[in-house]
Amino acid sequence: MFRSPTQVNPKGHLILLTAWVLVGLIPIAGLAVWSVLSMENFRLVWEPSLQAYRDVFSSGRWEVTVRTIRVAAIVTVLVSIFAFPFAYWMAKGTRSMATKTILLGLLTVPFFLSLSARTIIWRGLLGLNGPVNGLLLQLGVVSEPLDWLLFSEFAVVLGLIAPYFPTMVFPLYMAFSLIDDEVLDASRDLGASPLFTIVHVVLPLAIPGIGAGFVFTFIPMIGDPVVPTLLGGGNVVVLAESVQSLLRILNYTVAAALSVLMLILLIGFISTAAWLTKRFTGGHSNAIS
Amino acid sequence: MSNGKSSSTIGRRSLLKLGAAAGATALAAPFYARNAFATGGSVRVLGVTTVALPDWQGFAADTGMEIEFTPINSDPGFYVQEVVANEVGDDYDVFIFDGGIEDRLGESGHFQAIDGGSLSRWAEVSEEVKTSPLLLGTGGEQYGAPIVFNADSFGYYTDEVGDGAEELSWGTIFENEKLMGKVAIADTWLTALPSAALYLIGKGAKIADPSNMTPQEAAMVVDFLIEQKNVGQFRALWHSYEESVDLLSNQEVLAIECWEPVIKQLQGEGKRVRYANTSEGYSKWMIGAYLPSQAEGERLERAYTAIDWFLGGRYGAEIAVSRGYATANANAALKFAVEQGWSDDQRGAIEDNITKVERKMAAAHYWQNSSPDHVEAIESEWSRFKQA
Repeated sequence: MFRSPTQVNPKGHLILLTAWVLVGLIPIAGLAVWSVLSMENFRLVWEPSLQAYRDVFSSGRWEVTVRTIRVAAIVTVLVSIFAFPFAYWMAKGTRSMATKTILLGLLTVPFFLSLSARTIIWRGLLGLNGPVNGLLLQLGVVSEPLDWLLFSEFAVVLGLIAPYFPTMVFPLYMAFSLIDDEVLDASRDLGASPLFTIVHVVLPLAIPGIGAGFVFTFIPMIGDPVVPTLLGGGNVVVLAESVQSLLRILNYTVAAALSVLMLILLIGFISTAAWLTKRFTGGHSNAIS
Repeated sequence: MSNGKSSSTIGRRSLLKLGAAAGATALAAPFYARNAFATGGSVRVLGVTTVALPDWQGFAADTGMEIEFTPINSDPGFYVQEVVANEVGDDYDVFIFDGGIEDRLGESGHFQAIDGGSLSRWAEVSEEVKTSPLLLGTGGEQYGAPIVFNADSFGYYTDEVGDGAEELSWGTIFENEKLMGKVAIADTWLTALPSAALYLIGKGAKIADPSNMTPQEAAMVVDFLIEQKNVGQFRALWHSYEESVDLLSNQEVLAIECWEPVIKQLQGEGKRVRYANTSEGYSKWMIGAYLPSQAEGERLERAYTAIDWFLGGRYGAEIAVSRGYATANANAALKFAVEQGWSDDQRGAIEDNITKVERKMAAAHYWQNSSPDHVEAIESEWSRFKQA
């Protein structure tokens, strides 16, 4: 009954292609067209112009784009550093099914609370008159309250770690769980140190999960205005906020230009990541064989 | 058997029908009860949340109509989109939007002019309020009727800034070494840019109309704001009412450009804060009622009845007490409160409004304009400030 992909009815390909053109390509093409028009008095001017792209750069929105990517990248790396050992321990370290179930359950709890409600708590903690500054003053670590604890990139990065922890843990946990215990045993029996096993056996085998973790964590963070708005205090503007501000006055063309630039960056970013992954795993699977 | 079967079917159907009828009656009963006064149908209003009352029972009692109020946010882009692209004038009898939008939507034929003669209370509205540029079209046509308005400034702790005996400069917010890093402003070009412009005008800058700046004027104001931002004048930019309350309440900042209800709330909590009287002028805003061009005949009559009610005493009294906002006919509001035997506190809120309107609304500058001529350039300048 199994048919290899080449034997699948070509009609299927056609449907898939049509669907992709309809939901993927046409909106993107529309975006590209909008981005080379301009807006005046809430109205679209039907003359090709690069004004929207010039506006992206003159209004500081390019820096906003770069900052958004930087913040998302920093948080993704930090989160993966915390998530990797945690997910590995959950998958391979503990044998108790109950522990696993409880931990996985706990990881989903945050999704039931609004992100704003969870984030706003940081403001109370990190403010000039908050308990963190209070403690530091009491201990004599600082003589004046630290103003960079809140309304700063530091606050935004800190606030983003917890909400994006589960999105990194889940795919990693899945990937680690799928690794056969016997493979790990074999590595140990052959005299490999735990570190060697992790770097040369676990990592290459978990690459799809790591990739998924990065995508599920990094990409949504780029479009998320909640944490940067609440903890950045207007000092850490990110892309989503910048686009919202444009849409409030119906400035679709600059928003479109910004989106096109973002799309190009993301395609570049993901292709590089895919290429690196391929090289990385390719090299190792050769070494193993 | 077949008879029995069919009869049982009929029986089940009848039961279902009966059930449906009973259900409908049950649902309808409170509806009719609720509409005991509402014999004149309903009026559909698309309006900003600022003007909404917690309940509209008074409207039904006074006009005999139900009000179907659809609340929306104050976004000029949203008004244009709904009115022009989605043609919501087909569905709504009255729009209640931030003033300024009539310059565009009146001119484009989406609003019809308001005939003061069709409003019984029009003559009671002061000329100064009626002729606010936020209600008139570019050619002076009366497109809007005033619903609520206020003169915004900033709030501050009296111990740190002053007891409020004299007028304060906007420099308290925008250029002040003593309060450096202890100040917050609203994250919107709509108020932050023209208020900064007021301060600069006070210092001698040439800006013709703070609420309708040219791209060059906006760039000049933003250059100044960036300078101030870089020396650390602003602690934060706020995005919501709650945030502004929080910032001042925690003393994260000691002075903040904000809405008046913020200060009312904190005074109620016993904080020593005041809402500033300014030396340069205020950020005056007005929310107006506008008539969609599609409204005519009976629909138009209902729309006029509704607008007339908003100009009356009950609405003015209720919004003054709940929000501290001014209305076009404050004397009627006071009369209503006295007649209804409201408490001294409540009457005081209305009396405060009368004084406030006399003192603040007469100031020269400026009427907030949600759709300045160069809105794209102004938004872009604001973005430059935020990124700096």
